[in-house]
Amino acid sequence: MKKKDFFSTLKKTAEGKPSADFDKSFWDRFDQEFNPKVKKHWWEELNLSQLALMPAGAAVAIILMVNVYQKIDFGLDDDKMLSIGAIQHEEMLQHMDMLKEMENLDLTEQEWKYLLEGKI
Amino acid sequence: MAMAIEGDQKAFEVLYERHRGGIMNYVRGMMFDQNKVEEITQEVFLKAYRQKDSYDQRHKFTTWIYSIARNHSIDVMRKKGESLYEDFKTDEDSTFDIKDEALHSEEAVLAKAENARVREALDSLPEGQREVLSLRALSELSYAEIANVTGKSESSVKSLIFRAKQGLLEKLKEGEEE
Repeated sequence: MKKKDFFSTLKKTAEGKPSADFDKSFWDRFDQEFNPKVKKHWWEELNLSQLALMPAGAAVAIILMVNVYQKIDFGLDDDKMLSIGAIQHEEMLQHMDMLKEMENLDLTEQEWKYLLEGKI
Repeated sequence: MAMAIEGDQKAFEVLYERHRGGIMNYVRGMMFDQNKVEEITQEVFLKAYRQKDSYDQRHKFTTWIYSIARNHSIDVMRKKGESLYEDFKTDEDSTFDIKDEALHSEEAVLAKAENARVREALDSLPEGQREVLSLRALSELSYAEIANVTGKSESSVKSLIFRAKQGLLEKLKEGEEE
């Protein structure tokens, strides 16, 4: 038997094999240290679908405010109108699903005028 | 390695693929705690990439990466109190060449032995012997490369390997007789 044979036989019998996820684990560690992902700015991490709800939410708030200022039409006194406003506001907060329904709000010029100026 | 130093990750991947198995076998030969082998092997390559700028291109990459593996393994063992460092010292006085051993019987002994028993016999060798035998047989380094990695002379390396072989075969024969 040649020396090389002894060593190669020894290698066959004694060498170990790396575990299945060894390479992945190594390159994960490598990337973590040498290729860290660039941290996103806070505005890049914002969910755009949430941003889309903001105009709808604003519209709801305006409707509620207009209702408060339309108290004469309802014939209610200041205290009752304030109570109604508070209740409506509370409902808005409690039922955020409503905002989703308002997402596709498509108001006409007249409706905007009513909302903003209280008259048609 | 020159490309890896320039930040070429692909070049480093090639080096990693080429030396991963050998380094792991070497670390396995150095460690008593086999659960640490993979973690330490990974650390060796991370350390190499971290220190790539300090690599002297006049030397072989093999020598450099195995030196990192050696130093790191010794550090880990030192922290854990695992190593008997006397075994790592150079033994220049007991050098002799490997010449005409009864080589024909070695293969038979190894072939008969089960893998676990060979592993066990290898682990039972003194660390200095186990280290050089692992580098030669499992990592397939040349005597000159082993001498560079361990800081020993080539004749000392050969001597240690010879004694390691004798010790290994004796252990295996003992196991056969039992």
